[in-house]
Amino acid sequence: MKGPLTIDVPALGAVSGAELVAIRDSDLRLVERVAPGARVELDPGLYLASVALPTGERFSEQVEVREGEPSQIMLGPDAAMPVSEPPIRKSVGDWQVGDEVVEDFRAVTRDYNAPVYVGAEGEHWTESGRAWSLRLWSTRTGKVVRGQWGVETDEREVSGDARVVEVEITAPGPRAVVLAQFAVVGSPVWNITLPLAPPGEGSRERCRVRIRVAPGEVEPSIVLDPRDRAYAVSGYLATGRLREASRLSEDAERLLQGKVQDPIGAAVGAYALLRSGRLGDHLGWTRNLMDWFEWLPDGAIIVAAHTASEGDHEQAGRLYDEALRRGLPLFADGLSLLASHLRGRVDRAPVEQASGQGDAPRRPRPRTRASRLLALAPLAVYDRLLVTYPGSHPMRPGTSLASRQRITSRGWRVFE
Amino acid sequence: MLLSPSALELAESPELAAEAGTGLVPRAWRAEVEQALFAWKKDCEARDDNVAVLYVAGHGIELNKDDGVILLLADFDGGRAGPMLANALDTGNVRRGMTGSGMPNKQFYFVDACRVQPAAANKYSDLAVGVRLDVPKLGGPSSSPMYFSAASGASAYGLVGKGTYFEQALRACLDSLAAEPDATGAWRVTESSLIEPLRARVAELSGEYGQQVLQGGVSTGAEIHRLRDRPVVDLRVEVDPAAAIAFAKASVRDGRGADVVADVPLDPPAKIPVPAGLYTVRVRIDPATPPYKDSPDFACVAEPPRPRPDPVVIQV
Repeated sequence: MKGPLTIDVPALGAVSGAELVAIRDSDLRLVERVAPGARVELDPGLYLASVALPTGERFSEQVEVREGEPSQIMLGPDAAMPVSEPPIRKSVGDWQVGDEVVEDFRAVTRDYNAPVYVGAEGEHWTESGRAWSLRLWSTRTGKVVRGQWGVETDEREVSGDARVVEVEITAPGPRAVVLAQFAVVGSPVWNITLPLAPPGEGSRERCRVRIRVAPGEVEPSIVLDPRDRAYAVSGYLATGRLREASRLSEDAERLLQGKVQDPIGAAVGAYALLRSGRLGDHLGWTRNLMDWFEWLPDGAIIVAAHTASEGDHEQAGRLYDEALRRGLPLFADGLSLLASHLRGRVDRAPVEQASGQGDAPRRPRPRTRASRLLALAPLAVYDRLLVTYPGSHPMRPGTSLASRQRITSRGWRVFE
Repeated sequence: MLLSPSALELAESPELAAEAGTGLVPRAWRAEVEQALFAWKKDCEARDDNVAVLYVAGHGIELNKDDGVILLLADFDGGRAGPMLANALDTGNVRRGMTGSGMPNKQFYFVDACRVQPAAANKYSDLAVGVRLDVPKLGGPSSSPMYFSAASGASAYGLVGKGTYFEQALRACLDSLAAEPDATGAWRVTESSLIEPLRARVAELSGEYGQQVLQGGVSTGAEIHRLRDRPVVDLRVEVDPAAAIAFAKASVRDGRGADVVADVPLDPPAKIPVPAGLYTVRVRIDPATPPYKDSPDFACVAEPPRPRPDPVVIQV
């Protein structure tokens, strides 16, 4: 007669149903994988139950199963802990390219066609190294957009001059991936795409960003709600646990069903499935992700990557072209896949003929969008979930000139 | 295998110097690498149940997590005699080129190189890389993960004469650190089980450099390596308070209740080799020495040592 065992994992409360708990016998042989909270019948004996959390922590506990006697154990902490993105391990001194450094917040920049932002607190100038600035861009139009944001006032000191603040940003109007820029004097400007759906296009109309600010340093990270399933998938992806991420994503399709859809959460799941070679069983809803949410390039990239892996490179090429037309991907994986495809393409735009100079050297005219993306791709930080890269002009990161590029409050919100 | 050790590395490692001195190991120059690459590809495509492994180490230029790095070969000259990257290897292209009929479905790529973006490279919209494969318009392998020794834009580190941190960590992982038993009891290192201990071990070795390992490509959990036997782990037992150690004797039973060792003195500290598994440990105070008491059974797990393995501490 067997003994029933239940293993609870409170920190995974939002992700019930996925078989994330491993049960091993006394020789550590894998006996079962079960979902948190599920009941399993085992032969009497000593077992080891273990689980890896999205934070990267691993918890295990031994349990003795007795014939006919229910057993119950708990693994991990009482509640989910926030997942932190890995730090951006670069300092100004390490830069070899794209090292635009903000020198002064005063002065007017040319090129920016931004509306003036007027916040409740008004704008103010500062030369303080503790100040930081935030600005939003539409990745489709390449222009600054006006957004709504609130800043948590209970910022906390971390160490020395460093402090952490949180900003809640509400999606601005454009149907496109939104990118936020963070700047502080003495540091390269950091650009990060935001997990925001345009109004009416999904459940994520707000997002929170945690910013670590110190003299000469600014480091933004996205904060995900631990009750959010995408939080768990992202955490597993960030800690390299592809197996757990893909298990959790098996039912990501339901994020596109119902009244309130979550295309961003669905895209995270789709990437996990793609990276683990399991997208083939989910092609139906990933095509919906591509067709229904035209503002999100990642849907087309995911389907294109899978199509290429199946050998249909012609169709994959068309889908990648569509993704390029839609703009900058939201996720770093998408940027990597798209850039990899563009590098591998042998077809180029027609060679530009030099007029009236038969012997002049020919110069090829590269496609603008593809060129911009290929210039940006090597600068991105690929161990982060969202597209993150430096550059004071996010659409032309390799061409901005640091010493002459200064940040104005026009379009920037400056915080002290 | 192709090697081009530096003079410093040769001076620090007599074994390496001896190996390089035989003349049997080709140098990692463009011509030799190209020849070896095509020979390797040809060997791989003999049957699709082959397993392909490519390990490159040196200086690299980063592209993205699917294109790997451009590895600068030992005769890299920065374009003095031709295109800038003529003497470089495009690892991402190699991964893309390893497709087609007969190609192994399991391919593993290890890129042990800095992933920086030099200012010079940013001046070009396209840089032709010398050593590369043709890429067929066919489907790819089912599994082809790529493991990077450094995060985007960061450097990879090591100690001269002792190898890189990534290489040391990878060997430890293949030895046992990343091995997990499956349902049959076979201890396997898989694409899934490798990344977390590899990351942890590299982070531990690199210390304040904070080197981060990254995984790209597609990973289906394929097996990379299988251990011959269940790994043997040194079980270390300590007592609390430490002063009781002079009187403490440990007995260990396995998960089925069978005795493994009995009454092993803990002074001097004992390492009890046991096959990886679940065990119970009991400590007896002999001779009886109040206030110390015999302990009840203490359950513990003996697993291949993770970074910073802890001893089992039993209160007596």
